Amino acid sequence: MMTPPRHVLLRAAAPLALTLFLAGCDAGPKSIRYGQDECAECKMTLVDQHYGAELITPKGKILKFDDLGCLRTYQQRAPKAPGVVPRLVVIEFNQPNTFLPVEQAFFLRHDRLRSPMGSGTAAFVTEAGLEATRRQLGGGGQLLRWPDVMRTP
Amino acid sequence: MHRLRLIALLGLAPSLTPAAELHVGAGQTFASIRPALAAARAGDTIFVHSGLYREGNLLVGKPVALVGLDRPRLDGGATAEVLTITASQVTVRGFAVQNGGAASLADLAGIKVHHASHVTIEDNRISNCSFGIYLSKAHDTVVRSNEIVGIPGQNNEGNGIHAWSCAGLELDRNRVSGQRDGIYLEFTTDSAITRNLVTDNLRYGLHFMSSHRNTYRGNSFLCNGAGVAVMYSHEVRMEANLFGRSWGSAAYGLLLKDMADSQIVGNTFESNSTAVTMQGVTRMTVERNLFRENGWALQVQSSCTDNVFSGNNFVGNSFDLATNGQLDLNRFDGNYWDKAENFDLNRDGVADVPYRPVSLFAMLVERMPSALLLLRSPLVHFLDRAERIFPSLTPDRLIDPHPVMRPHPR
Repeated sequence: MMTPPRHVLLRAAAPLALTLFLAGCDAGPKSIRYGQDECAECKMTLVDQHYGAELITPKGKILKFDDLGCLRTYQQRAPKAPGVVPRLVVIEFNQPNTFLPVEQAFFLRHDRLRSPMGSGTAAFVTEAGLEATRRQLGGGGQLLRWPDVMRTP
Repeated sequence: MHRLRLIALLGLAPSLTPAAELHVGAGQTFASIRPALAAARAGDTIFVHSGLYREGNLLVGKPVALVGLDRPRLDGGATAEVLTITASQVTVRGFAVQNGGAASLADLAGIKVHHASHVTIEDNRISNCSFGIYLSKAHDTVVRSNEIVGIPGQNNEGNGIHAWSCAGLELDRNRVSGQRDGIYLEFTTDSAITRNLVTDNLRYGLHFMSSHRNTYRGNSFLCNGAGVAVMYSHEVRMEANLFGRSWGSAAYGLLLKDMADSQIVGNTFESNSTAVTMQGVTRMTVERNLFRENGWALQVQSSCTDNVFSGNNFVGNSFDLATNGQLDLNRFDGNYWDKAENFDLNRDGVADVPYRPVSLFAMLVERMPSALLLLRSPLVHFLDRAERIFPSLTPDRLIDPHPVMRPHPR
């Protein structure tokens, strides 16, 4: 059997190596596999596509949550290491598998929002989108930004 | 309960007129159901003859019996909740309820009972509805012998039987499949879930959230994401159920989280990735169960204390017990472990040497899941044997002091 010249092998391997390298570096959010993925806090399987959140550690480990309440509980309990700040992203209420950084999102807490673990908190990309859902729920509820979500139970 | 019912009846007595029978259908007094409901008085029975009834949302607001003859079809036209019951003492029997509406901000159901008690929902077939039967503050309600099949391709939306804030329910002999959770209980207490067949639901067959003092007995949970999940609940009795074929990375026969004072007795766990996983569980009795051919029979997290595992049979599982801690506050006693390879010189049926149910390899896999690749490697087998003789990594106080030589009879 004839062995191909070495430079051909290298050329073939380079894109593969590059892809693997980049894949290893990618620390972006990873889509939630509803019906399969498990919440890192409450252990429930994620099923409701209106809700979900991810915590991405600086090393790129991704934890998934079914409810903002679970993310909050996890964050409050997790040991705080100085200088280690995880990235937090949430699912947009009306756009399945679209992630928003928590700092940018608008949150609606409403007792008619049936989130999987009962926090009743949903995330929206715009304030207008939030208000539209609030109207559909017959008004009421609270508009929150991320620091309030973390503070108030 | 019966006394209350009697008092209620006596209270009605002076106003009682003989119960009437109303008939709905082609060639009957009423052509459709809504006018019959309007005309009916408390205690009447409305017989609905076979046919297709597309009347949008039907509201039952008085204590009547709605009885289908030859299974008439109530069709929600994929827009409406089909039947909404807001009165106590209502009976609904013998219908096919189909094509309910779905909405992201409202829980629409095939049949909903809202703020009413002593309702009976019996022998109905519910299909293509977001939620099948939805009970909200519906105390002492009976749901029996219904068949519920979810919307194909949309099983992430609603539960088959959903009970919120109820007490004294009887859920018996229903068949539920193709829903998010087969049966879901939240803030629901003092209820019995018996003889149901719950299969192929996306998340859990039966799901308890903050639901105390309930019993489920004689049910079969097959091919669900997980068979049963009991969370944040206490005093739950789980007896003589079959948990089978929950396969997958987050799949369990029984998932227990933050619960106390419960019993798992006489159940069969067969062919699950993990038969029972528990976290934050205290004062639980696990006895006389059969664990057969599961990946893991028991995964007990170190947050579990004061639990007793006795008289169980462990047969043909890849791992009998895995843990991330010492488990020295739990007791294992008198179980049958097919991996024990023990001896019994005095022939009293109890092995002469205590048994350590956690293998070295189980500990390794717990810390490093990818080590699972080495399952059934001869080296692992050798290490496990060595570890049993000289325990180093496995919890040294975690023993079954009286393992039995033969499986317990069942």
